[in-house]
Amino acid sequence: MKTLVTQIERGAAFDGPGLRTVVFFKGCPLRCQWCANPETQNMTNETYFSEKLCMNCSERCPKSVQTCPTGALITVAKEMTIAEIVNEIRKDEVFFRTSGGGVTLSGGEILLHAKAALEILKQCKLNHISTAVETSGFGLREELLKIAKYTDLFLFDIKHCDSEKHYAATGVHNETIIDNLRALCAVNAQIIIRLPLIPGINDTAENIRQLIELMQSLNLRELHILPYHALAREKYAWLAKTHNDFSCCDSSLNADQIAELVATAGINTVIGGIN
Amino acid sequence: MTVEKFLLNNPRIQALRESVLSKKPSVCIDRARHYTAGYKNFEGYPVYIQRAEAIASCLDNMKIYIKPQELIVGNQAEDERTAPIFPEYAVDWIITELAEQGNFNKREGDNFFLPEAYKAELLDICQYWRGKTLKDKCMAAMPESIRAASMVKAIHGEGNMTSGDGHIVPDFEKLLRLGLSGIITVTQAELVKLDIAENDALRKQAFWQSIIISMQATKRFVGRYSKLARELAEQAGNELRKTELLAIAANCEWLVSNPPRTFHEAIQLVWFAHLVIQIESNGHSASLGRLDQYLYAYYARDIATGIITAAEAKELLQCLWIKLFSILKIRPTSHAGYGAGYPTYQNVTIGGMDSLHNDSVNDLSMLILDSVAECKLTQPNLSARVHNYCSERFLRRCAEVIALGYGMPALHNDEIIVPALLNKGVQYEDAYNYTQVGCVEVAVPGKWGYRCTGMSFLNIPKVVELTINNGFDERTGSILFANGKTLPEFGDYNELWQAFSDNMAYYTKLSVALDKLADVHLEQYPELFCSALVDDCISRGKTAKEGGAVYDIIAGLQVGLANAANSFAALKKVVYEDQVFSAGQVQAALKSDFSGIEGMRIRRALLSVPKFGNDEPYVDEIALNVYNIYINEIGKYTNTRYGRGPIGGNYGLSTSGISSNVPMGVVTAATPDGRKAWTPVAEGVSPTQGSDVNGATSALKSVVKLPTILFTGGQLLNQKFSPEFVNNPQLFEKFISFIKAFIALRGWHIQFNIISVETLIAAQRDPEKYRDIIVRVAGYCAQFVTLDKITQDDIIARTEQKL
Repeated sequence: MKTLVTQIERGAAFDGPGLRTVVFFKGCPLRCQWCANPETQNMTNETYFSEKLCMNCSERCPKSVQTCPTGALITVAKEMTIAEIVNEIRKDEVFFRTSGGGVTLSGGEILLHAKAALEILKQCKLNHISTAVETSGFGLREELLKIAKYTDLFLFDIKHCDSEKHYAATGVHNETIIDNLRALCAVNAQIIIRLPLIPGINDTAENIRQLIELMQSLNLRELHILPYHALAREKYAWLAKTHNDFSCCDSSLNADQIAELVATAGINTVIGGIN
Repeated sequence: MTVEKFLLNNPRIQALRESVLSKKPSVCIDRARHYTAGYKNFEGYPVYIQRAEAIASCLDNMKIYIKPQELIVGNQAEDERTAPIFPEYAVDWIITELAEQGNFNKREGDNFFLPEAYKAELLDICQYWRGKTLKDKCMAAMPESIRAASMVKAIHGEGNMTSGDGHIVPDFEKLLRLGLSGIITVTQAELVKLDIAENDALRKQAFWQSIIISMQATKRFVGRYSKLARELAEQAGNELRKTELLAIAANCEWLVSNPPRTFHEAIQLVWFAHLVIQIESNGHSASLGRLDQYLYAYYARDIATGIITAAEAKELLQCLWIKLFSILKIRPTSHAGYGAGYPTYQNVTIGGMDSLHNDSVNDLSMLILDSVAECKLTQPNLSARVHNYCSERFLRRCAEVIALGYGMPALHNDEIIVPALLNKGVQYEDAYNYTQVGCVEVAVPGKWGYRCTGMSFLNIPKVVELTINNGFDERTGSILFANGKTLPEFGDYNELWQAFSDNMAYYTKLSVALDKLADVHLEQYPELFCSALVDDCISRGKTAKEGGAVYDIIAGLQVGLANAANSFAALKKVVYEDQVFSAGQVQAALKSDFSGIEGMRIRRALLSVPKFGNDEPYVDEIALNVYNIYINEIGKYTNTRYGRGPIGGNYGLSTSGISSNVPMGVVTAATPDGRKAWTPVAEGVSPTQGSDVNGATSALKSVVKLPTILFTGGQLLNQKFSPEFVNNPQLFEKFISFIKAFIALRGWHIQFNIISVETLIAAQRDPEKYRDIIVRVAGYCAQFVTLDKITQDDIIARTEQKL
């Protein structure tokens, strides 16, 4: 079984406790307007093209990554076997041990790669490597619950509490997501809720109130607020996609204000998502 | 966690620090003048005596001063940050640079100002030394093959022919126990025992007499400060200063004839001894060793009896650090690039474990750490020994100081260094008592000869270039060792590899011959004061250079390992395995420095092969194989002390190539790893600049795949971290765990640059404003703004690890 992986980031300080190795899968059912990893959206492989690097060396450019002299063309993802991925993860076991870190499977959306993800997680657990999964929550429940058996920590996005607004912003409704969250809670999974804070999209008092309610109803005690950034701008250009910049959008509540609101509800908040 | 800033609040230290920082580096001819006079007066005497009398002449006559507010006294030259001249080692560069530039202050980096008034006399002194210097003698005896290889810069040993050895830690513990007079007593006892009819007796007699001459001169030198302090006390305007000066006078007076009693006296004596070593020879990396261990008894006693407070002890330490920073050495321009940024590498080592695996950290270790952090100077070069039994308190304090972004302390790992020493035949207790010398190399204090590293440089990427060009050097047009083939003519990878092995064997042999050339002639420039403080020089009746030391294992510096490994990985994959491009195409691209579309395309292909430092077995194994060639070759050779007394008498490995990656790179054509011509090569065992894309964990993992246990001459790994890493409490915890992984993985050494690229660029634009930015340049710290542009750019180019 081979899986498309866009990147394996070692020594990552974010996305879970300690020092981590983060595996980014390619393919996602959502199309979040602010997506910071647009290269992970499509299920198939793609090519980055950097206009800045291209020197127009030939009028009949074959658009071939292999022959491009400047590196203006680069393949986005690499096909890897489960064994290759696990081997890469195991390279940093010493760092996991000294830091309490481990592996984080990220996306794209890992539920689109449930079989591969499950196998990787199983093998990590066999090797006593701590596991975390970052998910939008959008996928088949039985897959998610199978994954939960081998996952020490879920970093679970709630992008919007209002289903219609969720649909408008991401292309999918949120009922499945919230049902999946409930299902995970029912099996006592460890969960940190993540809120990618997008100005003008989900930073309203109303959304935060609903988020608090949801978390309280499920007895979830930890929220990570991930402030918006526009660092993906260049990636959109390389993919010839349009980048929506939310930096200048009118924001309703900022991260600090939200943290304060959430704290009064008895929920721990971390801005920036460092465990 | 609140971020500790280690602010310097002591007004005395602030003033002394400002004074020493504001001084423009200069040159003083005092030493050259008095030393030459002493030398002339004793022509015809045994060289031991002649050298001892020369140093005596210098110590008796050189200008001495005591600066306002100083508590520790003793100066190397007429002012702080002023370099003496050591004409006995080389004068040709002085004559040439003065003829061409008129002064030493027009260099690209490491400028020195020579006052006009001294110029004529200096040139006069140089005339006396022409033909008599170490360099003259080495050049006269140099075989043609070494001359050619040095010109091509496959090897480089100029530093060893233009200076003394340095790279030594004398037995300060013994000196503190016996005092200067005690050393004389021990030496006299040998003279009494001597049977003058013995074959070697007259040489030994002269040796011991010369030690006594040097020690007596040192006593008089100390006495001069006592007298000066008393004179100044009489003129002192305020009572407080008067008391201080009288205390200085009393300290010095006592030390003339006695071992120290107090912490203050002990520091003063350590400084005098270190100072005389610095005046005796212009070798760099003379180091203080495990200061927290041998000074602890004095500190603890004075604290317990209330003679001193911790704050006062810290102030004395800081006075010592300012003294260390005041020391400067001037080197020929042609060699200056190998150690850019006015380095003197005066190492102080703290921490470690003893042979029972007890943590050796004490209150003084912590105080040294804090006091260095507050001073934020490039000296001392502070090293912390860490290990599995290391207290969390010490480790965290080290990390907090590292977080300041001044590059110190460098961390050294007992878990690999102790076994490495045992593996070299060092006694069990001695191995646990090791100290850092200079930057990353190790020795047993007071028992090890010179240069546990610091012998010749071997430019491995250059050897790659010569291998694929059948020995032809494009830059100079000369042909050296010809293996019969150029890159397109090798039938397969194995044949290419064999040719490289043959080349490595050839240049390794030349590097050893170059070492011997310098070492044999250096015996004619004995260091008597220093030898008196290295066991077993006195009892054997030999200088350290003649085989007086208990241990004598040296190392040359192997530069650019990563480029060589990456080059072979790239050729193996692109040319021989995947056959994307032919060897001829690659050769043509290298010759044109990858110009044109085809050249760029080939460069892309070469660059896309895994690079060392990313934990990729494909290339990491090749790196190991490259090193194995050197290990096998160097294992065949001994040094000039072999069989003359010391344990060892042979070589270890070292990648502590300081900033040599720059001058070694600028003479090397494009290499098959995709490196452009005449640009810096990789430094130490660090990955090539910007190629360690998999992050800090993989760089560390790659480096520990090398046979670290053989690197007694030190292994050097620089890692740059962004400032947020240490300013954010959660990230700081992860930083600590990275350090713990370094210990667990048995890395030799690691040092951190925590600074942003933006800041460095700003510092390039506005040096005045960023005077106190200190960066690690391979094994030592330098003020960033004093480096030349190419070295600055090199630092900026190193991958900023996100971790």
